[in-house]
Amino acid sequence: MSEYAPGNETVPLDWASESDEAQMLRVQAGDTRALELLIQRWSPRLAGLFYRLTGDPHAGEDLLQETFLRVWSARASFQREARFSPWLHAIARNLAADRLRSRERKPLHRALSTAGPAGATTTLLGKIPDSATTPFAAASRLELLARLDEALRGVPEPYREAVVLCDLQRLSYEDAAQVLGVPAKTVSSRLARGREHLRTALAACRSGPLP
Amino acid sequence: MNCAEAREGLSAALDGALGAEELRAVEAHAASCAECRRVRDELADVRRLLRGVDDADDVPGRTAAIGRGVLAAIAHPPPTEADLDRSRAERSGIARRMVWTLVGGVVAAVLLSVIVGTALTIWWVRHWSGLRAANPPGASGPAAPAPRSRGRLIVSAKDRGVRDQALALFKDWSGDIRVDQADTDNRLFSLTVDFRGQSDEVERLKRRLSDLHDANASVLMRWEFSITSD
Repeated sequence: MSEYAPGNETVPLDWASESDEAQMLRVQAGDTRALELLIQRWSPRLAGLFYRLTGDPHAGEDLLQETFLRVWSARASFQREARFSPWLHAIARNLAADRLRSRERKPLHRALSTAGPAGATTTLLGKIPDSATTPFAAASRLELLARLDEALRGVPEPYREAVVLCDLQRLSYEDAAQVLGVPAKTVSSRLARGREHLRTALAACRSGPLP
Repeated sequence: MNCAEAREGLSAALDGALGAEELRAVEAHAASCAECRRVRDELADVRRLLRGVDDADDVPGRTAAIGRGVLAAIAHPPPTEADLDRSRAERSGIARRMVWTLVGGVVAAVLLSVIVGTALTIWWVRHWSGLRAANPPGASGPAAPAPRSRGRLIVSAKDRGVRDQALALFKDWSGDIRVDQADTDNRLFSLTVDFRGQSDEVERLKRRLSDLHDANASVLMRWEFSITSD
């Protein structure tokens, strides 16, 4: 990896291999270079989170900026023993909830296909690593992802939050519980209901097993 | 365990989040329930599909733009909530002062109006009482000037006493008066009086002169009395 220079100042190479928590402790000490590293690491993933939670493809950039400004302004509250991911997700989820409350959800009109890295299909949903070798197979996956996206939007918000945090953001039940401020058992229950909504919706429009 | 209880357990079992005892109960139910086995397989498909999605929205150049925006905002922070609160409090204070100034102005104006109104009322009542005292009920408006009359009395008599009695009637005359007297060889005594005064006084004079004329008609050689209104 080449030396990372997100701003005008260079970042030591060995920082890139250090944990988020180590960077956050540098942020606590007032080092904005560490904050830029965290922005680089987490922005794509949080952009997907905001899209899933708000349903607004245009909400991402200002919410991302607001999220990392809050990381900076709330840096003193980050506990030395805490893990960064649920702490960051809690900030992001609260901002998304505020955004949802402040305006009605807008319909999604994001383009189904945009340019993406080679070997992957980029859709309004994100990407599924694509091993398809024919246009027909690629089109089938796009269609499936479009259905998943549609089905996900129909899931009631508390259940959708659990699905997004646990299945798409890959948080554990305990971390999702910390983000949502509920017991892990509640996360398990909401996740089960969310998956059940998706299963029913997807089963209605397919005849064979999911790829 | 029934199907409803098993369904929630099936999802958690896929994540390895069930305790050993719960897991055994769920598996035991699924082994005996074809519908729950089918649901379990479909849930596993859904989970696999979801977890196979790379949901990161990686737009080229966006991360760098966000980093620049965040650093710029940190370098030049927008007003904090405390700043905004302070600003709001100041604006609120100014607004409060303006409101109280307005209220104070209105109250002062009302008080001034009451004081001036009361003073005017008292003055008017007193002034009106004075007018009423000066002008008894029945009179309307300020007192009009008393009517005035003028007249002339010419008397010639054989008896000097009659002339002197006539002259005596003008002794306390309040208006203008001019008197001419003449004696003729102590045999005819004459008097001419031109007078001007208030009409009611003239009327009183007229009555007295009439009485004097009637009482002395035998000795009067000339008696002329005339009055005209001004």
